[in-house]
Amino acid sequence: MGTVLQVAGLRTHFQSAEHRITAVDGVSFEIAQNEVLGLVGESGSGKSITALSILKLLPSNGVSSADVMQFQGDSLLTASPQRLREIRGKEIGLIFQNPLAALNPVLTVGEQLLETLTLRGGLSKREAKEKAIALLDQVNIPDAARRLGDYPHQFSLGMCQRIVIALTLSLTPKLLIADEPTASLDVTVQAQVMALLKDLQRQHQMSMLLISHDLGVIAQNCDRVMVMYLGRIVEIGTPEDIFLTPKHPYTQALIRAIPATDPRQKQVFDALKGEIPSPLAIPSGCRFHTRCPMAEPRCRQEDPALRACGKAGHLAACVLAGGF
Amino acid sequence: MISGRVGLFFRTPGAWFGVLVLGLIVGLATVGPLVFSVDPHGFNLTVSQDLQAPGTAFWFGSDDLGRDLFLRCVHAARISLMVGSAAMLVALLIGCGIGLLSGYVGGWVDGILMRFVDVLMGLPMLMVLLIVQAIFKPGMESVILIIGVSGWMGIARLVRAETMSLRERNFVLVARARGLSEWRVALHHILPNAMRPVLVSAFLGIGHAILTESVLSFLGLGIQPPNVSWGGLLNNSLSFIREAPWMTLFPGGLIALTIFSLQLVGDGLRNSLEGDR
Amino acid sequence: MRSMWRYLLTRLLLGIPLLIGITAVSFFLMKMAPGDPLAHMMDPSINPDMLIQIRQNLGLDLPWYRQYFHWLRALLSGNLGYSMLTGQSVSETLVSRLPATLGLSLASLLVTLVGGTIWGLFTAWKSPHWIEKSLSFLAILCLSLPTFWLGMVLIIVFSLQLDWFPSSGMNDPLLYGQPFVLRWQNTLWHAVLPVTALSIGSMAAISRYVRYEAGSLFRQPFVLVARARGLSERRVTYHVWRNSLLPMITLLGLELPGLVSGAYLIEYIFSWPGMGQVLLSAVFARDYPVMMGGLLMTAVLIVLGSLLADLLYRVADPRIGKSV
Repeated sequence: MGTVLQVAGLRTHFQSAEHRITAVDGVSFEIAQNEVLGLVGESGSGKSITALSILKLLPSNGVSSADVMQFQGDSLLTASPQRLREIRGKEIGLIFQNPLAALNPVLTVGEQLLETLTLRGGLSKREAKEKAIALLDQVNIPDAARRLGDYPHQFSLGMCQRIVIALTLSLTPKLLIADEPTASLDVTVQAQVMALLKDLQRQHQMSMLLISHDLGVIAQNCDRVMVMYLGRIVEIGTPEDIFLTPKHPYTQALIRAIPATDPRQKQVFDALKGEIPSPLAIPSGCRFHTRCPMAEPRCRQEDPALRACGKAGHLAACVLAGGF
Repeated sequence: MISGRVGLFFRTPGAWFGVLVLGLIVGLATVGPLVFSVDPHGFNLTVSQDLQAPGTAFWFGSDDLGRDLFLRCVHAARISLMVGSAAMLVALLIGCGIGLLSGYVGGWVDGILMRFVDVLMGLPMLMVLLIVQAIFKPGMESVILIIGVSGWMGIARLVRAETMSLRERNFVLVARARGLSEWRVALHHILPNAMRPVLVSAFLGIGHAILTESVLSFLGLGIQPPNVSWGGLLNNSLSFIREAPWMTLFPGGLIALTIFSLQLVGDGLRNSLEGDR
Repeated sequence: MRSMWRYLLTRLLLGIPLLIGITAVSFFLMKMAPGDPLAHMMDPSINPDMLIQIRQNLGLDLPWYRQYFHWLRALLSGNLGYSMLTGQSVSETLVSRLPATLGLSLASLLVTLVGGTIWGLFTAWKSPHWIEKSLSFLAILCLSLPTFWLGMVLIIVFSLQLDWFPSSGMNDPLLYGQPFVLRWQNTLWHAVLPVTALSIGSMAAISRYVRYEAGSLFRQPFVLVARARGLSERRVTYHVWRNSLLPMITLLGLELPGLVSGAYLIEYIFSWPGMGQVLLSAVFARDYPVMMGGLLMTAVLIVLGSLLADLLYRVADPRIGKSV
């Protein structure tokens, strides 16, 4: 089991005329072969930006740097634009939140599949067509051959996401970055699409970085979980570590905020107090101290690093972690 | 707030250039005729001064009757700018009236008015203007009037759209709930708020009006002598295009420069207005 | 397909109010024009009784609305009256001039579309860069040049100074009787300057529009996802281009009336033997029947043109029409 992706010290900021917004501030992690690594956090915590930084697909005013960014022994930091383009799609695939927006509205689904298979996969037109139909079959689109000529708006949202999945898998990447793959879908469809994605991941022996704000999705599908807050990883561990013995007060608060499914159980709906601070004014010391129920005076100055707490591989960035 | 808007304005590329050039042209048009008080339209009977190339004697050269083209351009600037602005004002009045009526009343009134606007916008307006001018006696007032009457449709559409969105806003509902008359609500509460985007478009419309006037005068169907606009200066330039290209280049260049700087300033205005929304 | 035909029919019917409006306005302008329409055709020494007889035969003694319907009926059978100067049939004169006008307009339309799109896409693609800034600036400049003046400047520079292109006409009379290809080449040669003069302004307008549209399209998720699939920048630009086609067609429909007016002026400047030349000469000579016929014909051309633009829109946008 080798490491597929290794990232250390990833920093990304956005530069506008007046402001410099730091979205990702020193993020480090590794993904092993076949592993599903979850990334949770509120919106605005820098999850998606982390994904785009890895693929070097930031908007033009975004700048990212890292100490290490190794993909299967290849450094993404020094890769030429051509090499990067080779890697995108073929080695690292991206699945995006809103499937309808991810597909070009004026090109048929077939055109978009075929262009990927011929231009990137090197297939002939005929082979590509057969492969496209097979792919759509694989993601359970009924009547695939006929539907190749349809446009994205003629499919339901769930079907669109299946098509996006087919599109991404058409080049059989080693690593799949799935950014909120089910967030925009209906609850009933969510489970189906997630199951399909997990299934295909196992079949093709892919690694996956699964980004979500939905703790349920994360808990059910991941081998390891990272919790992100304001551009930093605050806790890493197995789902058991994170959900049963969370060490960081932020993780604890996130878990308490899950509504209970049992109506008889008395609801302790202890949502996080306050809003996530603006990335323009990141608090000093521990970034979470402004909202932390257990904050001590020293939290205002000390900026804790990730450190081992309890079980091997369970890390948390809190001065109190391990202490209780 | 003000400094923010001004800042946004001047951050638009070329806005400062537009202001500078426009200021220069407007300044020349207002002060120029007083400074260069020689009658620029009088014939110069010294034959040797016909069709002189630009130089120290004639900055822009001289025309076929030996008249100083620079002086004539300065005097024409006044007419071109005035006719353009006045025509735009006429269009602004009609456009605001019809747009407000259409947007505020809605229903079938809106339907009919907007169909009418569609029809007018589908016309080759320039040709219609030429024909109208050919049938009736051309003159400064008629030029202003017909350019204004033919150019209000864009403004009407804009005012209508703004009015329709403002009509549903709370402050308008509150004003109506206070029992103010419909007239007062439309004129005092809606129209002023609808004006901001309209003013930018009206500003750009001045350029279009100047252009239209120049075409009419170029073809001899616009401003009539002894008054002359930049387009009028071009009137017989086509006949002398070989011998005296400056008769074409300078007046036309001034038209282009004016429209160019109006466009730059208009873009800047739009940026500064949209910026603080 | 059936919905397409129904749509076509509705659009044609919508063009009718415009044509009725134009005919009515034309007719009343003609009636209000000073002078007796018969005066120029008659021998001044004619017997007054006979004049009355002729007026009756021509229906000039009828009330205005009956005259209008007579005129309209003649119009429907293709009769636009006769020139007051030459006595030639207006419809015949105009129809004989139609190919030259259509050739000039369609050539400019093609140049405008292709040039404007490339210009706009390139500008959007280069953003933010000094090339983008200077190209946008150039677009504003070109937008500000009066078409007729630009035509004259082109004559001065490229015809009189450099002697590269002819300054007037559509054909070299010396080539009469020469092989077809040679004459055709000669016509193309003559068309260079007028087409350039006519195209530059609308090209700049289109480029600004495409630049604006494409600028926001380049920020769309589907572009990001296309890049994440490793598609080349050229292919990504193709995706954007397909999407920017729609607003461009709308814009073209709006620009059409102005484009036609511009074409007529250019015909006048370059002595291009089209309808515009006839129309403008008629305006100078106050030849009312030709003026009105020309205006009417122009309006019909514009109605047909915008209908064509609408059809194109429906072909280019899969989201309307086809899904039903």
